Amino acid sequence: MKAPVLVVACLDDPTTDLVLDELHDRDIPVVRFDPGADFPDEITLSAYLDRSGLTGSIDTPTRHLNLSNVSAVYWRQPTPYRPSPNLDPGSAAWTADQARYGLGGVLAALPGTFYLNHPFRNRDAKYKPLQLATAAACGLTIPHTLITNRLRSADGFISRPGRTVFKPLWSTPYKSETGKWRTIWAHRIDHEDLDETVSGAAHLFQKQVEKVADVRVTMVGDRVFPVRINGAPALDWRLYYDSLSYELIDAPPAVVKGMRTYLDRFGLVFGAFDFCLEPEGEWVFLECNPNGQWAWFDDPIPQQIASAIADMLTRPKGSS
Amino acid sequence: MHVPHAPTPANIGAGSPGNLLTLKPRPWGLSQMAPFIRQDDGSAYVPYRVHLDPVKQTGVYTDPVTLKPIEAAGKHGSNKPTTSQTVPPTGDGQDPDMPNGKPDTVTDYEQD
Repeated sequence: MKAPVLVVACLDDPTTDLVLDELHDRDIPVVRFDPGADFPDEITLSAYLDRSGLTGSIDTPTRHLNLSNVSAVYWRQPTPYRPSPNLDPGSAAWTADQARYGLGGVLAALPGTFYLNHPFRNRDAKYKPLQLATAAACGLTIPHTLITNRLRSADGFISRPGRTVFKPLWSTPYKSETGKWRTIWAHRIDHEDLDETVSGAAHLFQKQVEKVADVRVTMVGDRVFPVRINGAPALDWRLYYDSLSYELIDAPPAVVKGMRTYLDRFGLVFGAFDFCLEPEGEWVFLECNPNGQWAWFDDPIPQQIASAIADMLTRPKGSS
Repeated sequence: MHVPHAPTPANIGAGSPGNLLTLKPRPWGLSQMAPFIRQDDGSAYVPYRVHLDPVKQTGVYTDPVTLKPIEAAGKHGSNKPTTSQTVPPTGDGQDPDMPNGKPDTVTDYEQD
């Protein structure tokens, strides 16, 4: 029997399902679970380490996984390891950490296994300052950006030519005092919006790119899927899905080369790049989500991306 | 053996009242929080359940009342996606204030 592909993802993830459908059609065995949600109540782990390396098994309610016989790992968006509500807080925190460093460590150490993407490479690649610095080093154009907790620095940055945008360094799940989920969309700010409480956290300010469109480029190995996002009436296109249309376009060779170099520097196979397209045709890098979604594009783009991911997960070992 | 200066785990204080001595003003960025905007043309929120197909290992989406299969949000272009609408997984879409679909950025290592 063929070695299975391990799929690490939360249960509610249509993006994962598209890849699983593709693998199923190719008769590739798969094992799927969600470590943060399923362990330790629903899955059992026994991993052995000695001079020969890592061996052992994981059992889910529906599968047995031999840890030394995993052909590839598709790492999507698993549930974070969270303290259980069924233990006292201290015990729950301890148990969650043991799961993260135990099961999470085992899943990061599968011998000879191809990862799309390795979870620790994903972790590294999620830091926006590192994203921007790496993009610039790879020859991509980036917006002027400031990360600060100094009000004077923020004011000075706003005074520079061009409009200024505020966006979070990380999207933290956040509930308001009224119990409503809240988030921060990228939006314009000005001097009068700021106050001394800027000192209380790191904040990211960025010069707004005057754009004619946004482009989301999904890269899977050397396969490039640049999708022009038309119709966003304002800065953050994620607010306007209903008015958006998608168009598969070509990316300039220099941008493709920059993205490929970027992925290599982070050790990534997959990346979802966001660019602004300027009127003169310049592509300006905003960020790269190493685990971005793509299932919401119009057909046939999702199927093409799912197929490209399945190609990578099932390619013979040793191929590049 | 007595260890006079044993290291203290940095994260042990979760839930400890000792960490709540003083409240500082909230950092400015929190004042920029905004609601999630529904992308469903005002149609009613649709709760759903998901379970694992034991053969294909895909998610099977059902109506929690009728148990009939429904289509997953964001799976096809005709549905309303929620990419990058970062919200925490609350399990089977039970939070009516939460957009359908899954976040783009919540990961296994968000606390690192």
